[in-house]
Amino acid sequence: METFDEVYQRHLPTVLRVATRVVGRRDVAEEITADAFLELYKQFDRIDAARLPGWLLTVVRNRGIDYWRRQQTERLMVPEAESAAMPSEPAREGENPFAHPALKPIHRVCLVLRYQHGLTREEIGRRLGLTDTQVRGHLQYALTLLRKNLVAHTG
Amino acid sequence: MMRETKRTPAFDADEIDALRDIGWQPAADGSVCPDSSLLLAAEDGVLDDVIADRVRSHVQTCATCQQLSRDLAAVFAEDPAGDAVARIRARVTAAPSPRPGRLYLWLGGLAAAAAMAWFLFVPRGSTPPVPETQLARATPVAIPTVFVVDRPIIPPGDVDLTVRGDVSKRVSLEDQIAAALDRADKGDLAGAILELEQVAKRNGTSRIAALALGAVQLRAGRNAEAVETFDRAQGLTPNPAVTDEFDWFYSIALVRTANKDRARTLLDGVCRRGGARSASACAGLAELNR
Repeated sequence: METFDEVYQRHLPTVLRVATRVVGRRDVAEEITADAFLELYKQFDRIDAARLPGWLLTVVRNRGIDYWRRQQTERLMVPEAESAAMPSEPAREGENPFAHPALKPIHRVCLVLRYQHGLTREEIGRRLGLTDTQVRGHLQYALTLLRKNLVAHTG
Repeated sequence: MMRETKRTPAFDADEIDALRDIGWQPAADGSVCPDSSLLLAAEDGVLDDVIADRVRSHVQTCATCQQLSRDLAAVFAEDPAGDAVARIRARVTAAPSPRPGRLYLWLGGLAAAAAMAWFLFVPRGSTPPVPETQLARATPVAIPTVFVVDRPIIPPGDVDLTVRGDVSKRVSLEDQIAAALDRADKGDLAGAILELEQVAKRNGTSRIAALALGAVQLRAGRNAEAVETFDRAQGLTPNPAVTDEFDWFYSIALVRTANKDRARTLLDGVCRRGGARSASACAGLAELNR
């Protein structure tokens, strides 16, 4: 029979991936993933290994539904007054300056969250499971690349 | 949780230069896009139907959100970083560290997370968890034991009255908070959080309400939510009566979410000021610097 550690090592990536999609951010996903494994840990002797990882994913999903019930999702839809001061999305479709093919998904995500949604580097880091320094690096790389591209275009 | 902390973003000079160069202009109407955390959730059937429909219909018409959804899916599909694996493992196996005389009431966040799982998240149709004693096989505690989450000290004075309806039914903010904290003490952390969320909402400018909410969120192991609560309250007018208390619980939230540098700054202040939390803060600082 597999030990808890073996089960943990084997299923963690899958469970965390599902948890991250369900809540849309890595910090909360880590918490609900830990909860799911803690639950498994407590009941380990009684859970049929054949039910994994389905059992874990069910816990994570239920935990995610509970998380969303606690959120004021209405407020997540509509920006507050202060957001008027921050940059908005481009007026014309297809003109998103951040959608450059040379950028990787992580760069575009950092750009949009910072310059369009107005999050701090720290907030972005928590959502993506990165340090402030990593976020800063991604942003600097992306802005430099976009700038160079623009110069090459016009020059 | 709101759409993260809604401060006017402070961009560095080099960021502003680069944005100007690539033609990114702030618009007067602001962004109407939903919070990024809703995008994938709306596809996965975990949101309320009304909200999910609104998110999906916005995304259909917004090229930026479509791209962001694809990009987030790609980023989240990557394997977690090594430190995330270690953090989760530590949360799972950390043993409770109750304070003498307060057994099982003031568990650290990890044990409280277990309690939450028991209250709320036992999968449908599953059998009850095995007794606590069988957790003896757990490995040592990951979070320094000095960061024990106990009941926040709410001062009796300097508290605004919240007037609701009949004057004879006035209940002070501190009484409302005390009632919710009592509820948490009895083990109903989820109920206490709901109550404090309401109190904090009605008293949007009160640091005391935010402090109580954040402290109970910590006890329930909802660390990321606690950080958000404290982050939001940080912008409120400081209340000198709870400065140390606020900074102490804020620092615990930061330690638990691996923001040790910010935690150090707060702990340093609490330690120096010599208040009720000073000894704990100095010990916590020493732990972090070890």
